Amino acid sequence: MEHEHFSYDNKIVKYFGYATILWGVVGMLVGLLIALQLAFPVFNLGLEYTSFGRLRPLHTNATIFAFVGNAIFCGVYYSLQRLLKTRMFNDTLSWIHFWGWQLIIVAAAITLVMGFSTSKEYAELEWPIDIAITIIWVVFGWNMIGTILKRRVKHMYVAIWFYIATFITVAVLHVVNSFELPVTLWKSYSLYAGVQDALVEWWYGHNAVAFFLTTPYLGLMYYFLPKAANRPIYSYRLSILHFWALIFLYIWAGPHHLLYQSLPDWAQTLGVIFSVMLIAPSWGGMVNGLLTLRGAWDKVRDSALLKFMVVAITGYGMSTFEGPLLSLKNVNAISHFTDWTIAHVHIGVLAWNGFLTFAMFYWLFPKMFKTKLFSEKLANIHFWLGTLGILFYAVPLYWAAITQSLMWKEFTPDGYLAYPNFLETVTQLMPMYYTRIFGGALYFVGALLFVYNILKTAASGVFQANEEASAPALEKLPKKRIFGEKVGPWLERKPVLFTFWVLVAILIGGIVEIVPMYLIKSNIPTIESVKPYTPLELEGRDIYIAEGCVECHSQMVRPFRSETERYGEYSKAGEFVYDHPFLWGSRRAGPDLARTGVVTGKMYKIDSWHYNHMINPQGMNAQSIMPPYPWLAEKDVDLEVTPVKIRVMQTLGVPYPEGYDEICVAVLMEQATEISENLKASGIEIEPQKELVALIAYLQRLGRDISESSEHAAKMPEKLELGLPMPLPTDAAALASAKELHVKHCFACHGMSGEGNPIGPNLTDNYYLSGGEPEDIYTLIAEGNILKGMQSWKQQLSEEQMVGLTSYVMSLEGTNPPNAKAPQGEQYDR
Amino acid sequence: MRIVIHYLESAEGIAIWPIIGLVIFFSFFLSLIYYIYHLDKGFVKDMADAPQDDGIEKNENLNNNTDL
Repeated sequence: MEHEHFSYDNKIVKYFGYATILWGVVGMLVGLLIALQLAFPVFNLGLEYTSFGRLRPLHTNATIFAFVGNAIFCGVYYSLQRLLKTRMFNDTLSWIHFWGWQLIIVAAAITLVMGFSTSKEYAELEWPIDIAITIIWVVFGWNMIGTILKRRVKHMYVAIWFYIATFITVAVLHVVNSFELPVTLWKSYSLYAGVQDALVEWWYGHNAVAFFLTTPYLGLMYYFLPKAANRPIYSYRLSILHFWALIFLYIWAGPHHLLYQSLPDWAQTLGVIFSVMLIAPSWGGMVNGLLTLRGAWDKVRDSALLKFMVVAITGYGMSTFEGPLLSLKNVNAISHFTDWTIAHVHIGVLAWNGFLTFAMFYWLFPKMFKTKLFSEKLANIHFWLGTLGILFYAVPLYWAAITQSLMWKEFTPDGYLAYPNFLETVTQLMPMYYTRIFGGALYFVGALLFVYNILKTAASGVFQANEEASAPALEKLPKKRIFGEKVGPWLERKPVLFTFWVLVAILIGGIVEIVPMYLIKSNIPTIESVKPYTPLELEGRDIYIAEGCVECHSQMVRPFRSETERYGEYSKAGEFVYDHPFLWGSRRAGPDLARTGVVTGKMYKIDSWHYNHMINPQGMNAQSIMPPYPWLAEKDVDLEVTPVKIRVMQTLGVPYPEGYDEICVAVLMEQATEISENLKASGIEIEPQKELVALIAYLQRLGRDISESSEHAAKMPEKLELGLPMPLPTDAAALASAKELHVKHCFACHGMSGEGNPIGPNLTDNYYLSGGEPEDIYTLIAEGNILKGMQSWKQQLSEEQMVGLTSYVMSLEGTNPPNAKAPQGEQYDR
Repeated sequence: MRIVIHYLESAEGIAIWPIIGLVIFFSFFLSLIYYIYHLDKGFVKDMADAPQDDGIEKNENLNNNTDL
């Protein structure tokens, strides 16, 4: 038969390869920085552009879409041409794809640190970039399908199926999840609200893992593993089963990210069932990969790249075993909102994606440069550094997760939370966080050796931009099935029809889950008292989004006693109907904020507390890991955009009255002035137009919709007179332990020596706001005075401790510490 | 379409969804197993060998090289 001569395009593969290396280093470096920030807040560097809330999305986007993304394209462009025995469909499309993707990455990096973010995890990029991604993704798909159509082989190998599924599913996920209404060039509101937004986002988020981090890499595994081991895949039949079962099941599993949250039970159940079933195809794939090396394990001993492959495939097996486990409701109740999730994804990304990328490059670069790997020894060192890095990263985080979760859930024998102060549960994790940094650093050093090794290999060889090949031309295939041809092989030579059926398979799950959520009204019971945000609160919410507060703070109280005791009433689906986008969060590095505005609640703090806490969190709690946000007190809310925001919200169905956009600025200023005056009374000068005022307004709104009546009760507090339950202790030991309590709980508002600060009054003078009798002081400590900002301590401290504190406060009288605050209240002489 | 939407809006016993999902998947899964079990051996072998056969000259057998 006539042989056609053609050449494979290696140049595009090389470029995607170098881009992978560059963005990999950047992404890991940012990861290392944010790991440092979680242990040492000083690494937030005091700049808005480098604070954790902005860098964490940068890290995830850089590693997923820049590092892994470029590695996918690198591997796909190499293997696709060879599996189909043809050059890429169109070189121009290849280069548009390459440069377009790099430009998107640069735009993403700039906008994320600028604070332009939708806050939806792994989909943080704003609408102009979303459109650019769609265009470039279509260019990629067009180029790929075009290549498949002009192939010189009859049937498509299984790796190509995985590439097709990746292209079509990511396109669907990205487009559906990114429906948003623009406000300005870099600001938009999600088309979906609350529960629906959450469901769409996690349908997307989960399948971003499935179809960006998993299926393309499975395709790469099915090509590069047989290549590197020089033997066919263990079972091609198993790979067919693996493919269809995996893409069919994966798409249903999204709701397992929302277990015990405000999602109807049927949707949660669907998520759990399909997540558990996912283990079957996933392990089928792992077994298929590992058994490919049967009888060739001696090669693994001698080859660093096969070692990388083995650990990568094992990592795939680990994460896909852990995934279903974490989807069980009782396990999820412990693991969710903790570092377990972080450890889980890093097993996936560091082992599966990272190691498979390294293996692929160690094989690919010597091939493309017609040379040997520069140093097999360095590659082996890299392997061990990487493997140890993964262990030192993940194991401490599992430990941290279980520790923190148990601390959140522990009760004293009296029925109070054992650790009512959230910060205690964070401080406990620090040793684990230090170890995590060490693990990350090991992995990073290994990656640097990899870069050096690859560059040296490239320098020592001769690059062949176009690799010559030849193959017989493909005979013209009949469209219809040939007599005796099975449906499968027929479908495997009909790429467009094949793509269509992949689309059908992945749409079933999405439609069954998402459509009923829209149509069936009983899924989201309406709550009469839930009202749209005021213009100031809306602006505050947008600052919350821009600063990435959701990266560390959830707004979702699950219906567990340990959570309702700590935060307040559990969250209801109907509370979120005006939330475009939803802000439930997925990890609590700080406490949940869903109930911060409930005046009688445990989370309530007065405006001046929020002000001081935002400006200097470590000044209030030395061990706090919250980044400081001083710039919020300096930047102004852009009042010209506020009316546009109101109009966009009206378009989305938020019931602001007709013409509200015309008066919204006046309404905003009125509320802002009130807060600013309120702060002034505490000695804090801030203009009403500052961002911090809006943020405080938003925080004080959270949870208030469903607590109106309790707020009413707070305004008319019952005058309580408690008697002392025991005599006042006067011995030094009792005073010393009371002082410890003061330093732990009271200093944030009353100063280390009781000198007072802008929040709380001076305790060292003989002026009292609520009476100076021991009984008065005891009552105030026990019951608090919510409206003035004094919290009630009877839930957290024993009677003995509170009596001790009473005695301690009295002992402070006349100590005259430096920087004492001016007296407040009435003089009282003992 | 309106009838369908009306039916969905008033659907009771929403637990039917997981069951529908499971039934769809299992019938799909079983037919898949039946299908791969009955696949032609030669076809499977050809497909499994695809990664090794990339048409690059040095990999070609001698016959092809003499054509050049």
